[in-house]
Amino acid sequence: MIGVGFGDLATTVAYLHAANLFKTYTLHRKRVPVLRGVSLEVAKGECVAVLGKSGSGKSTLLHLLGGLDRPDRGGAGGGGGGKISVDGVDLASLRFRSLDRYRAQSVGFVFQLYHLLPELSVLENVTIAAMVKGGSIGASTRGRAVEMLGEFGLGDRLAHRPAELSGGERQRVALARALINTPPLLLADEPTGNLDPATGGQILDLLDAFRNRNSATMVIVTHSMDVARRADRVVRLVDGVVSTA
Amino acid sequence: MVLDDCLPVYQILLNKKYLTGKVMPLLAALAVALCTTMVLVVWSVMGGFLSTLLAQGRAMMGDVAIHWPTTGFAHYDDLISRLEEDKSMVAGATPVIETLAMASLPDNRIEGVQVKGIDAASYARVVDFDQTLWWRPMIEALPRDVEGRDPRLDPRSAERLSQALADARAMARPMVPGGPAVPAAITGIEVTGYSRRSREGFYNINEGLLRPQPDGGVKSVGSFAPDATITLRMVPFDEGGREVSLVPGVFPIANEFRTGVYDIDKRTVFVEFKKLQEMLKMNGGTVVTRDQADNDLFAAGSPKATGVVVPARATTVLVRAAAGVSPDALRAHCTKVYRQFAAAHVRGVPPPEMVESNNLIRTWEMQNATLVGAVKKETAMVLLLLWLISFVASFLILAIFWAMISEKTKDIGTLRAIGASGAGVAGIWIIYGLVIGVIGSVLGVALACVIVVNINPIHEWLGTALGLYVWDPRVYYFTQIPSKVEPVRALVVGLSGVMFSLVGAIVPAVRAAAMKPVSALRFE
Repeated sequence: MIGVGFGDLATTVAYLHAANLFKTYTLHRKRVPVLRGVSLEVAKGECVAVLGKSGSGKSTLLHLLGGLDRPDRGGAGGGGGGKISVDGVDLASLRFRSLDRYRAQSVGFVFQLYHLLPELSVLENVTIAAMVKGGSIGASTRGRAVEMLGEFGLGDRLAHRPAELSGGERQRVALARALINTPPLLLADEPTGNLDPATGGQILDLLDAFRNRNSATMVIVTHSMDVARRADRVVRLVDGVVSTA
Repeated sequence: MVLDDCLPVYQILLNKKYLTGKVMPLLAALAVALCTTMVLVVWSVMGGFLSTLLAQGRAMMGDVAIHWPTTGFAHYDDLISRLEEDKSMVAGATPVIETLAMASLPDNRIEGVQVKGIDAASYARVVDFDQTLWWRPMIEALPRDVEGRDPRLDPRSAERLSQALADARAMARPMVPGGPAVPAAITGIEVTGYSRRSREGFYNINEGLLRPQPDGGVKSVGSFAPDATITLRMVPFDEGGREVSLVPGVFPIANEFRTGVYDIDKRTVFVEFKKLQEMLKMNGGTVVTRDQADNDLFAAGSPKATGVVVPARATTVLVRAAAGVSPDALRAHCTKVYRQFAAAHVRGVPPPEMVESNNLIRTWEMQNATLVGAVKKETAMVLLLLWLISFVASFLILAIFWAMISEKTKDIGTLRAIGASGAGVAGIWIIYGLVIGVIGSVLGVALACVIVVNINPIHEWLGTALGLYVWDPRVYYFTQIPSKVEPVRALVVGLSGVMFSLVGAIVPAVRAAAMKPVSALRFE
């Protein structure tokens, strides 16, 4: 296991604490280790960029932190028994429904391929996250979504379908969906990976603005040094293990 | 608890989008609709067929018959009085004599028939006999007789038909024109062969009846049953069940009746109660007995008068239920009354234990259990087969949903990523199945109602346009195809359609719920 140095943040209380994470997938009856003992601490309000090549386990790490998947359990003959706690809550102790609630209330996901729902309009793609979190939505939530989309430059595209938008616009919609519930933890998986530098820069500006306004904690997976430079701290992931940036 | 589990808001939103944006679910709803229509139409027609059969039977035979066959039972008038005491249960009761006879028909054929002696006045209170009398003047044609070819519509026949109706009500007709009226018979319309049923449902007077000639040849003549006579040969039995003698009787035919139940219309002849009672030596005061050893029916001096007086007998008492009383409830009441009646006439009437053990107090349905049972079983079998076919709709929905879920795998991953639970995702497809089921069932039931209500015009059109007559009144009991949709049946079929849709949606929904979020997001 390789530890992570936190510099001047090492003394602060970690909002996100991941220790000794292992994850192995089985493909065609062959075990493929993806994470091999990853530990990571992120302070509240901190933005950490996770750099690494394709296949280094960046997305897998993000999925574990977001409660979309669970790390390997410890056992004889292999690693495991890793632990993730967010804001003092051990994710391993959460049952499925509590994990769903954790994702709905505490996590905002942004994906490289946007993952918008094609049948829904721009506005519906944003408000559906609020619906999942809280059931029926009121005028205030809808108003907040409209306002946010206006700020993101999509005020005149509310009724449009994702297929009618450019890549940058789609990513802004995906960002608005991730932020509508004002999550304390934002997990972004290559958010600018499909965008040109200028458009990617706009997305990062929006992320920064949200973080500054809400003191949100962010983990951004990327292989772009431009993105990494805007983070408070960079963590490199090489072959399933973390090396200090 | 995650709120989306109890308030399926996003599921409803997605359902709305999926329903309005895709053709396949609408095809699934159409499949449900067609299956629902198919089952409800068949059930309504076959169920209506059974209901009509039972109603027609009741119209002819009352609700309950108390029966002691062949020899009959005495003091029937007392039994009728006792039955009619409770007006809340019994609307009326009438004595009937039922016996078998060999009938010499007008064309010289001899056939076995059931002869029923009825008292016209009281019989009319118990059964709707008058309505079944066929030959009467008509103003309005039968629904399928669009060309008005029913002979009863011919104004030139009105006088003769009116006479036939009056004769039937009086159960008397002169044997020869201008002669004195004598007790007459009313024959089932299929008995004599004089009347031929048309495809439109009316009866033509047979214009081509072959009659034997003295020279050994035959001649084609037109014949009208109420102008003819019928000879009935019956065997009377004394109160002990011993045959007395063979009794022939010649009756002018006053009219013909039609119940719509072929077995009745083909084998039944009505004669006047007192006349039949007299012929069968069942009338009161008749002294009937003979030596037990004397088995020669035609021996001179048999039967021998002994001076023993026996009361008049009838084989059956028909009972009509008061309004709102079911046949089964009436049967229970009749059983109770019969016990009291038997207790008042010990050794004079069949003991109640024998009557009950032989099941001789019966509803019409019980009396015709074979026919009714066959129709019921046939209906049940057809419905079962159709329901199995309808189950195909479940698999259709399963296949459509399975394909849609494969297509939507990434969306499911997205929903899980933003916090939707597995149950919440499953709920999308369950609601989807429910909505398709409801839409399909409502459409199907509505379509079935339209078809059933208009089934006779539709059938008529099929016959006229394509020559396709499925329901031929010459074959089936009734002229018209039953065209009533029972609300309960519509409800059962509609709910079944919804249930089949839900069943089809469950497996894909479980699959969607079981998808791992990460695998779904990475699905290509």
